[in-house]
Amino acid sequence: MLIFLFDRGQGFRVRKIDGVVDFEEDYVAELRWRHIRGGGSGGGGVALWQTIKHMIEDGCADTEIPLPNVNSQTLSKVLEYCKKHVEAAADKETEPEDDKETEPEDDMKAWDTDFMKTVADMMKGKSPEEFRKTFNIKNDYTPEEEAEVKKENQWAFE
Amino acid sequence: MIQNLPRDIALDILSRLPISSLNQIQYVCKTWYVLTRDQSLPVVFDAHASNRNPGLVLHSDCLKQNKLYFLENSDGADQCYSNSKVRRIDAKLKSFIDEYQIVGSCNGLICLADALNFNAMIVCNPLTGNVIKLPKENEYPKREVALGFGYHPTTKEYKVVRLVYSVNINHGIWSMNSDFQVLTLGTKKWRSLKSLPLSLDQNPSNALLNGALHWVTARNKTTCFPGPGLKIISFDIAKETFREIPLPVCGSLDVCNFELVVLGQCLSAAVCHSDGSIEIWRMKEYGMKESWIKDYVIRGYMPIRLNSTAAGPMYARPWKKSTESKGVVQVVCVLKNGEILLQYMNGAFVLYNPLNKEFNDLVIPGLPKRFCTIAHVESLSFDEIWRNGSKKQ
Repeated sequence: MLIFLFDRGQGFRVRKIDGVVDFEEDYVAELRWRHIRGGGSGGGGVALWQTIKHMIEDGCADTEIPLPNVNSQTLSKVLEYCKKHVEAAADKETEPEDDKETEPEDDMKAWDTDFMKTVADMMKGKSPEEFRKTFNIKNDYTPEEEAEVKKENQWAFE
Repeated sequence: MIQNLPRDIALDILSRLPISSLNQIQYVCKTWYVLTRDQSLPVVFDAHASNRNPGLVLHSDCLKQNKLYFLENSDGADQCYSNSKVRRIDAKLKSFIDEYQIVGSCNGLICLADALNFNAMIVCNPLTGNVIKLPKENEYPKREVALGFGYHPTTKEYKVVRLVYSVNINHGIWSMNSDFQVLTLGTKKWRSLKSLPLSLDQNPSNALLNGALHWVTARNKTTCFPGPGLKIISFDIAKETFREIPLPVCGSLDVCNFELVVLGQCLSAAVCHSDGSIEIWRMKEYGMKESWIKDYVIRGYMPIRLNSTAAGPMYARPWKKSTESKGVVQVVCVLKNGEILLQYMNGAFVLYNPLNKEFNDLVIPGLPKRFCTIAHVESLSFDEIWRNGSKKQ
């Protein structure tokens, strides 16, 4: 699968492209630089990659996929991953025995772990309201439904 | 973006959270509600158990009113316990058991025993509120009881054990009888096994290692069972056999004053000296006498909280019957970063860093006044155990 990501002013968008990969090397470099300067752990590349893949496979995005909450750190990871993925695929064709093949797999895992840790840390200790605010989620419960969840009393906390 | 994550990634994120956060997340929106109810969440959640620092279950039985609290470990934070709230967790337990003592914590489950006759017992996941009531046995009128709760990784069975001692005085000659009972979780009957001609310490064993429970033999003369010199006794949960574990070789070990605890997968003996210092011996190779090593010497320390509160010193661990023979510090657990959690009299928690030998007083708001502590790793595993258990019945 080949994708292309670009900035629309309000968050990034991704476009599926048939045929040749059209990475904009300068753009990747720019994002990387921001990533380093930010000093954050970034992460989320593969998780995001999978999300995108999922969305494309579901056919919910024939041309463009809006990614309103993606920051440049995450995006740079995706771009790196896409690049590696393509490079590895190319390597595979020429040198099938090459050890490099496994590299993206390991990277993928590391990214995933990093991403999941980061998100989990963001979730810890938040009230439902704070949680919605952070992740831009709409409360789709009616008060009755919310009361029902309370009644279920799934966990033992008072 | 969060809503669109693949299910397994979302579950993995949830499984890295404390259960108190899951409790919040179910209210965020319906998508997250569904994830918190996902059938595979307990499995994923428990797969992270070995990476988790233990939380603390606090038991307070002040004024005969038993209360159970949980203090989670906010992993990653500098002050790993003090950023957390002390939460009541006994709402669902009250109807099962009234006054109790904690027998042990294992894989996220705890076992509680009726504090008066040790007959009513439950095993529960205190954080989900799931409870298994253990079958009752005959009443024992006058007794001393040694208890234990553990799990064997090979047989994957949970067992509760109790050694019930009774004294017979016949024509002025007294004799001791002991009755040893084992219950496999999920079965309906306590089994009587050949007992041990030794009197074990009356405190529940909280040293579970390699599928075996460990006790020291009774050292308190008031239990009226003058036994031989102090020994460490293990009970293999799979084989159901007792075994003596060699004591540390050091002659200076004050045998009246040590408690067994598991630190970093080693059976450890914490020796409290009268000056408040602690020596911790660890058996590096299980069962090998020569492998006992004095790993830590922790100097005497006076936690801040001790100076500011007025409650009597011995109430910190009310479940300990023979407090007078114990030291003033309890070694609670060791954290993943190597720091040792100590609990001083009066419930003051202190983190000790063995590298720079510094103490860090944990300021934890909302602690009950008098309580005992047991390290407890969060888990959602109960459902599985219940299903397995039901099959056997």
